Amino acid sequence: MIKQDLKTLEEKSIFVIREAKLKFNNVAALWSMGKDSTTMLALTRKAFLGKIPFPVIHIDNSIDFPETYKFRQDLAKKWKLDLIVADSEIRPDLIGSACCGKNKPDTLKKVMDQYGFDALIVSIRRDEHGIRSKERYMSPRDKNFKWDYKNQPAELWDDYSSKLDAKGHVRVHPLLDWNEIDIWRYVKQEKVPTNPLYFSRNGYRYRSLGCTHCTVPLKSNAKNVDQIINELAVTKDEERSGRSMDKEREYVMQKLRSLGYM
Amino acid sequence: MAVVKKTKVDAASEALWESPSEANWKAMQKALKGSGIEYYKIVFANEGKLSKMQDLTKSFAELYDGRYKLVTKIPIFMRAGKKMRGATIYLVGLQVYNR
Amino acid sequence: MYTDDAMIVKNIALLGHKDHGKSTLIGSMLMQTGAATQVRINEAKEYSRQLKKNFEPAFILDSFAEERTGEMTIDTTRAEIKFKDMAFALIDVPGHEELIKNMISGASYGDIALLIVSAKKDEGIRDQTKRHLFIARMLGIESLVVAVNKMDLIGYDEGKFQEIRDGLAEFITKIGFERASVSFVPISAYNGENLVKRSLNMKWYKGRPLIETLYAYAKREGRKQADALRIVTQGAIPSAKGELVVGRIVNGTVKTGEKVSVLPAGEAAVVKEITVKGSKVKKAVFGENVALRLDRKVIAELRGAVISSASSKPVVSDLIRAKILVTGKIRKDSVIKFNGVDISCKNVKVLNGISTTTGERNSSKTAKLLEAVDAEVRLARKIPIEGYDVTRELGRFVLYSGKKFAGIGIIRE
Repeated sequence: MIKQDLKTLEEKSIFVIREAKLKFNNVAALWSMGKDSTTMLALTRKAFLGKIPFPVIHIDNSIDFPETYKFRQDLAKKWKLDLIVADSEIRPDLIGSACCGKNKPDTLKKVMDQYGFDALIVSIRRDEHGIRSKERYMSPRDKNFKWDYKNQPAELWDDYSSKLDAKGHVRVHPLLDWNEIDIWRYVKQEKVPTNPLYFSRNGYRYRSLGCTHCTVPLKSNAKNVDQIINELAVTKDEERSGRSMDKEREYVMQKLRSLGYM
Repeated sequence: MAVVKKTKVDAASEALWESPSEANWKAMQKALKGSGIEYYKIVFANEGKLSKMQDLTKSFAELYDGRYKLVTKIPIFMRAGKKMRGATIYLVGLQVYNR
Repeated sequence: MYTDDAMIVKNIALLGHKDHGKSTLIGSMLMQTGAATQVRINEAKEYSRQLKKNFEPAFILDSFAEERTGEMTIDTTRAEIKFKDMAFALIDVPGHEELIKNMISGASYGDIALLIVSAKKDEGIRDQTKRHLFIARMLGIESLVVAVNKMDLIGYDEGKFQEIRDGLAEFITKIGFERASVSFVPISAYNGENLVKRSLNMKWYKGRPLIETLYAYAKREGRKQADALRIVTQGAIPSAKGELVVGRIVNGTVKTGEKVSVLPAGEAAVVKEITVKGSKVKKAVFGENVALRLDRKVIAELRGAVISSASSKPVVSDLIRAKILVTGKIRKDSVIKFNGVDISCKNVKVLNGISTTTGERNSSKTAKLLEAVDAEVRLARKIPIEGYDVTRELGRFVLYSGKKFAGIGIIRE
């Protein structure tokens, strides 16, 4: 995995986060309590003199890891987060693979409408999966959350998209250029708080965190950030291999759905 | 034959299986403190495939002590009025069993 | 300072006509440099099998099912490979004409252009190939590597390779590439020849394999920065001691106590305090995002303003002369997007046309689609401008007509 220059990545992210706040009227950020969205919050504090000047949303399906809930409580207090917990209902028709695919976006849509957010910061990275390599720093979604990836606006020279229609919003992706290993290097450099589930106990750790249902641990002895960085430097496995979908293809389809492609 | 004394966790667990109400979950949270229980493992019904509502009601969490000895099994959902939701947040403080 | 083995990543803008093998090239490069994970390779094999095809290296890259079946890249994609002490991000851009805006978006991040031309009979150099080169040069890319592909299908014929090289040489010079910054490499993307290792089938080729050629250009010095301070502002944020101006340094350095001018209005101010990433500093440099406390409250709009050194300011004008690549209908009332703000045009006057396929200027007075023009743009208000060569951020803009992307402009001296 390629380690990139952290200062370059950091400057770009700070620029994009500031742009989100200063370009749009009502911005919010998604926070899953994972390493990426927590790093995004750390960068936001750098951009805004130690403050996080917008609400952070957790889409909570109520079966997240207790460790994750604990992490949420502690960091919300420590960083004085304006936390919106959006209950994602469990409905009989929307459990299992339909959960991430349909249930969470439905809840998100409700929250976005309720608060009238016109921009949403999402901590996706290009290296997570091929699909995401097509994302832009700012990507407009229409009122139905659809992403018209075939007909995206041009994005060059820091000229970013505006909203497409009155009810739509813009997804902002400040971490797009980061690789997984860069996140961990930054966590080390900046002492970004991390969910303990990422660290190995009894020979297992979580590499990518979803809820208790869709996440399985991988074999690893990496007990601290340094060991995770060393592990990632040589791994050939994909980050999401720890998500329990039967096949990669199922994951792809689901992800397409959850990202609003289909 | 030794008489096994019912612990606070056992009592709270029984109450939860009876009725997974908010009050009973709060009682469980209290009972867990100082009980020696350190780890949890979530077991989803129907071979892990949450395909219908009932699967969540049949799923459960196994609770283990500091030496990884199974102590009890409890539900992982709660009912508040007509609504049903997950209840893993009441297990805050425990660590995942992880093997 | 944080030291580990972080790499400089150079962006390679991959250009060329569809079906000339861009995605195949990336797929092969990913495999040969060991960057493709086994999951990706297996996935690509699986898709090849499902589509009843031989193994397609291109499938490692393209991730949308419809691209796999249509064998066409819809939007910009990016793949990273390591080589020696460097990393390359290959930015694959769509080849077909209607998606020119995606091509431009991708190419705008490029440090080096890599053009793929098929040597196969009836493929060769197309107008579109030339247009892509024109655009890459216009966007400021200075180094070019031309990979002449599908050599395996023409019997590794040196004559054909030279024919393509000679056919492009004049055009490449005309649009502004220096000869010493252009290389031609014969390859087979499908077989992976002359990519990382020298091909035994083309012993007549004495140059370096593709990746070595890219590496040599990547190692060259980057563009020199101008000295005079320029900060493009994004707006103001509150702080305990009043408003701070936030923005990014696009040229020079800023120091506390420095006298500056806030443009276009030209308000004079002194920098009292500089914050970079939450810490107060005495000095900040090119590329850094700063928050500045000035000695007075600035009255002017702080979104899209420029903070300049007071002694060396850019020109402030409502009339700009620019080279414009036309990607849509340019109207009198088009809008330019300039450093995050929209400015209405009053008039766009075409002075002459420039063919994007020959590089020649012509007497055309209309802005034709996918051609370029020299034009005079009259704006509704004054903006601080500078030649693109001096300060990129102050020398470029994007044109919109309504919601339609209509062009990109490069401001000349």
